[in-house]
Amino acid sequence: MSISPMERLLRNPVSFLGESGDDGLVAVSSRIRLARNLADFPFPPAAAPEQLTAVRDLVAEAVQRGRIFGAGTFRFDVADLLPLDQEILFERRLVSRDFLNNPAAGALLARADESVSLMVNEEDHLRLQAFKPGFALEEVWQEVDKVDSKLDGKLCFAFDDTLGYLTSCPTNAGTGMRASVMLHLPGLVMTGRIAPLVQGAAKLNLAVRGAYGEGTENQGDLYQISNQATLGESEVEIVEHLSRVIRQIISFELQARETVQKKDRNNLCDLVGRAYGLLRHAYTLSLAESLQALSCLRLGVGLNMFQSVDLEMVNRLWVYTNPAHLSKLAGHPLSGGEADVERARLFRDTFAGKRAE
Amino acid sequence: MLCDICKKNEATIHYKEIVGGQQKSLNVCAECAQKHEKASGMNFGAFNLAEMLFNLGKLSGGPEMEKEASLPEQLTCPQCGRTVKDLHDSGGRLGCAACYKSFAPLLEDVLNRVQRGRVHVGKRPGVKRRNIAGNAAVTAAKLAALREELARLVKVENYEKAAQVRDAIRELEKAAKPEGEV
Repeated sequence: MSISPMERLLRNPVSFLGESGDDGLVAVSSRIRLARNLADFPFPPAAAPEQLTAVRDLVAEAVQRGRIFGAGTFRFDVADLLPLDQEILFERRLVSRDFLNNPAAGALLARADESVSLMVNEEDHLRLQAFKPGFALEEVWQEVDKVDSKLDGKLCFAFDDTLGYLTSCPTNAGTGMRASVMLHLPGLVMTGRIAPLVQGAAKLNLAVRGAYGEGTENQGDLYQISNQATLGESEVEIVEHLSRVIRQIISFELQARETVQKKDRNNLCDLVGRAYGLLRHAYTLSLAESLQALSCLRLGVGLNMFQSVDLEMVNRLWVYTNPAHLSKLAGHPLSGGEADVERARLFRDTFAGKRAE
Repeated sequence: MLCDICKKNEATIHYKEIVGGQQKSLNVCAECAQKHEKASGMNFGAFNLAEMLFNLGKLSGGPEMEKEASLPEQLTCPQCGRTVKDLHDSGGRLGCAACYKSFAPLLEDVLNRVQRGRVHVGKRPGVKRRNIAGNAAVTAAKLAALREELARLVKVENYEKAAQVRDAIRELEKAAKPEGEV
C-alpha cells in the first residue's frame, strides 16, 4: 500500500533534532543555506509567472536527472498543498514564511531524510539548505557544498568574478551563504546575559534571531546565531569565524548553568520539576507555555534530573507541540482552544507512557 | 546640519536620491518633515529595507520632488526593466544579474556597509559558469577594482586576504585572454 509523500514525511524524525554529541544539550542544530540563481532568468521578484514555471521545471529536472537527492526524493508544489500541509513544512524548518506567501511556481525538493532540501523560487531561484543535529557546521558545509557542486554541473548559475554568486538581495551576494547554529541558552537567560550576547554578536557582524528565522521571536530559550556578511570572506572562513564564536557561547552557557546550580540548586530543580508537573498534569496548554516548559525539561535532562524523560522525547514533543503537527496527530485542523486541549492531552499521554514510540 | 526647509532646527531626517547619476539630498527636521508629509503626501517616516539599503525615499507624490521623480534612464536595468521604484517597492530586491551593473552606483554604498569586503573570495562555479559581463572593458574595470582592493589590503597588512585577491586577479587575467573566453 502506498502512502502519500506528506504521510511519509511525517513518519521521519525531524532532521534538525536528534542525537547530537557532547555539545548537544546547548547546540540544538546546525544549518547552512546557499542562495543561487539561474543566469538566464530574471530573479523571482522580477520574473513573469511563465518564467518562474520554467525555472521550477529546469531545476526539478536537474535534481531528478542528476539524482541530486537520491531515492525517495520529496517534491511538494506549494500551490497544490493544503494550508495545513504548508504549515507542516514550515514547522519542520523546510520552508520560509516568504516562500509560502508567494506560491506561484514555488516548489520544495528534499532528500528522503529531509537533511538537505531545496526551495525553488523563494526570493532566489534556488535556496539550498542542509541541516544536522548539534554543533556540526563543518560537516554541514561539506554536505551542502557537495550538493551545490552537483547542481552546478547541471545548471548555469548567475556569477560575477568580483561579486561572486548574484542574489536577489545584495546582502546575500558573494557566497550566498547563511550559516547558523540554534542554541538552547536557558543559563544565559536566567543570569541576564542574553542582551550583552546579542550586542556582542552584532559587533562581530553576527545576527541573533528566534528559532524560526528572520522576524520570529525567541521561544523556549532558543536562539539562532548566524553570519551577516556574505562577501569578502570564503565559505570556510565564515564557518570558522562563526564556529569560534559558537564554541565560546556554549562555554558561557555551561558556565552560567553551573553558576545557577551552585548558587541555588533547589531553586533550579524546582523550576524544572514545576515545568514537568505542568506538562504532566495540565488539561489546557498554550504553545508558548509548552515551549517554555520544554526548555526547562531540556535543561533538566542536561542536569541528569530525570529517569523517564530523555532528549529524544523532549525533541519529539518540541515538534509536535506546534499547531500543524498537533492537528495531524488529531487527524483534523484544530482551532486555538481545541489545540490547547489536544496539546495538554499529548503531553499527559506521553509522560504516562501511552504515546511512547 | 540645519534643516533645509526652516534653516533653524537640526536636521534629523536625511533624504537622498540619485538623479542623472548625481546624488541629491534633502535634510529636514522632524517638524518640517511632518508638515511636508501632510502637504505633499510624502512619507518620510515609512521605513523599509529598500530605504535602509539604498537610501531610497518615496519616489513620487511631493510637488518639489515631482521633477526628480522622472527616473533617469541609466538607472533602469536594460536587461529586466527594473527601475529604482521597483527596488523601493520590493524592499531592495534586484531583478536580474545585470541589475548589479545597472544599479552599481546605488550598490556601492550597500556593499560597503553590509559586507566585509568588496571582492568574492569563496567558491566558484565549474565549467558551466557564464560570466554575466564577459567583455573586455568590464573585465578591465573589474581588474582595476581588484587591484585597488589588493592595495588596500596590503596597506592594512591583511596579507592572507590579499593573497586571495591576488589569486582572483590572476584568474581573471587568465580568463581575459582570448583562448580563455567562455
